[in-house]
Amino acid sequence: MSDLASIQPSSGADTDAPAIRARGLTKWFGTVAAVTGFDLDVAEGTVTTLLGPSGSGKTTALRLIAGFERPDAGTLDIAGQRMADLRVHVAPERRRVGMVFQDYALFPHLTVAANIGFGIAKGPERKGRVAEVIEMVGLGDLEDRLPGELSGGEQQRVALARALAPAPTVILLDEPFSNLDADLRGRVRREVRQILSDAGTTAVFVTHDQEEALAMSDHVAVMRNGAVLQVATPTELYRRPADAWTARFLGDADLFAGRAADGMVSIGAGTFPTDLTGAVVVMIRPETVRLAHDPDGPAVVKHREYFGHDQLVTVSLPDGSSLRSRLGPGPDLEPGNPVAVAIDEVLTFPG
Amino acid sequence: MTVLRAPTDPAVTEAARSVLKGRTAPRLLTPLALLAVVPAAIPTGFLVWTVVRPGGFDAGGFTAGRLLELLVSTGWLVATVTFTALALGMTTAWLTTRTDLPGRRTWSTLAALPLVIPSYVGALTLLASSGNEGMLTQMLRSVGLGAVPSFTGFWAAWGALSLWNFPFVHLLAVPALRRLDPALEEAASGLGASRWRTITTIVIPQLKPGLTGAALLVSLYVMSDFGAVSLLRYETFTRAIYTQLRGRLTLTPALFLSGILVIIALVLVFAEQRSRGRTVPMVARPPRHQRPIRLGARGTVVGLGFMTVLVIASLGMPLLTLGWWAVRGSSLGNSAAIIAGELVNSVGVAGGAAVLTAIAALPVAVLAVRHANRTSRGIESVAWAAYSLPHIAVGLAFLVIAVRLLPAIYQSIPLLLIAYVALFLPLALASTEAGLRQVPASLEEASRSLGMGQWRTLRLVTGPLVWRSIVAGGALVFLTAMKELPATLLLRPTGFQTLAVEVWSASSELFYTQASVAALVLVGLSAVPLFVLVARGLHV
Repeated sequence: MSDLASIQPSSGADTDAPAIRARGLTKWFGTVAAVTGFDLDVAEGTVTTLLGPSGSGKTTALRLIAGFERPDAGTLDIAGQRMADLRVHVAPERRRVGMVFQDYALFPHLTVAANIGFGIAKGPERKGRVAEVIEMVGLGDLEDRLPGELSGGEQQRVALARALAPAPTVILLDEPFSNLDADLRGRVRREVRQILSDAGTTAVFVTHDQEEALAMSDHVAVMRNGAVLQVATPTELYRRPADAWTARFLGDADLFAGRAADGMVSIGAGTFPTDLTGAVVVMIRPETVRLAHDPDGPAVVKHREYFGHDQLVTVSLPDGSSLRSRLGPGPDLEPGNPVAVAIDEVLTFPG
Repeated sequence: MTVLRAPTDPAVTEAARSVLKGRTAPRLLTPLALLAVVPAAIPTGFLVWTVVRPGGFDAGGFTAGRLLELLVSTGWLVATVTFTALALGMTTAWLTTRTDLPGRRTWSTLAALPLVIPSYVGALTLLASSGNEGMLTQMLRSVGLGAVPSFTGFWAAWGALSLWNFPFVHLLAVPALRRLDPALEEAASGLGASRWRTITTIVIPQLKPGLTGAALLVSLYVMSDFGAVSLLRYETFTRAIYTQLRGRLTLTPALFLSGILVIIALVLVFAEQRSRGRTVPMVARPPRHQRPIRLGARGTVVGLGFMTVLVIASLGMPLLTLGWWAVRGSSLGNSAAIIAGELVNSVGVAGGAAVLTAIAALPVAVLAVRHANRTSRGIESVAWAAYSLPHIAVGLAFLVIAVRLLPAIYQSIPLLLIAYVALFLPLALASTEAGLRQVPASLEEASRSLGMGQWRTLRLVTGPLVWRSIVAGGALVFLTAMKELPATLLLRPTGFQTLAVEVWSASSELFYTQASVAALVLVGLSAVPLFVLVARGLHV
């Protein structure tokens, strides 16, 4: 597998209908609403990630798309075909939706080749297709192994190959990397991304890992309490989150309460422009905060965590509040050092 | 009898529940599961109704004094046997897990092996070795010595039930002792506690929940035992129930006694389940190696002597006695042909029971594993209910119902098979459920998402992965049904002899050769599951 420098979503998006269109999907388990009013459009050939904390309903949303659950309200279309609404429920086996499970769900009694060939109709083309997919995921000499004899990363690729083999309209991946070691995860993630774009398949991932979501996807849909809060490209999402909760969920941030007037808001760290008025929350990400030795600096270093590739330095501001800064390995800042603070970018939300 | 537990591991069921919530069961599954537990529900419901119906018991002329006598004699046997079995089983478990006794692995297996001897076979060996006709007497006579008195009455029943129940305690105590975290004991002695104080304050409290469970289990078995007490002529509830049935025109006194017996059984079952529910969670990490306690020269001799005597008494003597009678019989010109008819009958009904029970267990297991909810748990507990009740009471319930409502099936093979399904459903259920739990629901979903419908998924994925467990469950039912005595005795067609019935009736009539040949077949069959366990590398 080659590392890849950049990924472009395949451009041949179908103009007729999105690969997946969900409107108001709702699913109750007893008295608990797991998914409420779930709306999502996934364009053909793109990778979309459902990102949310555990219990946000992302796996249930995926299972509704796969057809393992029947929605209590809402509609679901795949490639323009009605899959589910109040009257219709197309069985999972008739949706042409591939699924990669968190536990891979490889059939333990079947060889790698038989697992991959499972979903392909019997016929002369079956063998060729299996060989093709095995080649695509780089499982060349493992065809005759049983799943129990494979490493975690290999099982992951078999699961992916099996789901891709019948050339589904959409492929769904439920936390596919969560069972892999941390050092393996990054590599497998890149490989899977590459395989998916080579195959030009529309894919929906589920994950609770922000980094994974941002690194893998063309679009990220942030979920909370069973609904989609925001859908955006990774850059847009990180830099312009819809609210303070999403902002904090996506990465480290310090929050300060302030009052905005005349387009400006003042907090301990300085005065910043804002479009809002009244009570606001100012969010500052540590990587946008720069520190420099300055004997006359207004802030004092309070605490320092040194990680090698970077460091996280906490400073006390004149008004007593704390601010964190993520710096490169260079500056040697000791607790007690006076420093100057420069902030590149802040976000403000209604308070 | 077999040690068997309902799946109550809170971690497993909780995980299963969280994964499976909301999965709606296919339409036919719940009705099929309900149908499968009907045989178990009938006797349980009938017996409970007998106990709680308005107007109270009809004692059928049974006097309070006679009832008190039975309560005392049964209670005394239960108490003494439970105490003895606990003492024996704890000692063997401790010697073979925590000390440096030579050959402790082998001793541990030998201590579990008496399980292959059903208690009525054990009773037969006591009878066939003692008394005027007995093996021991004949051996002593051949060297010019006197007779061994006949082993009957309380002491014989106490000995038989203790000897053939202590392996249960051993089997339950061995893992409990192995799981003990040596760090706790080290911590206690590190804090200056003496060895005795360490044992009483650290070891015993940790074992207590397990021991309570074992004690209740043994009590239940002793109370339910029919074969041993009736052969050894010690009067308990079960024997009295059977006596009441013979040559009487009314079933009322027997039913009355069954009602009382069932109440006591239910109390024991309830207590046993409660004691299980409060089991202290053991440390999850694999226990460190425990340094064995040195027995010293004297201790080793005493330990080896104890194990040797126990193994000879519980295993050596009975096998010797059965073998002696079987060989004597064949030298007299009798061959194994004397039990051919019984063997065919036994294999036939036990085989039928195995197939029926395995089939009946399927919908219940699928419902319990794949669609856990209140309904499925209710159905499962009905399946378990009859299993815990004394077989003589369950048999009597079927008998009464057949006589009153369905005379056509009274004393027929179908009724016997239905009773077997009621009694042994949990055996098949436990195995099938365990197999299904090994197949994650995601495998079936993966198959569905790959274009296979429900039936093809069953044929291509679930079926191939669980059939072994289903067959294993059926095999266990087969072996257990072969040994079943009280219900078979009550429900069989007139003249229909099985191996178990043959052992019982031939020993009552002192036909020890016939009884011993039949008993040897039963012992051999009982050994099969134990050998499977050993072959799989499980230490017993």
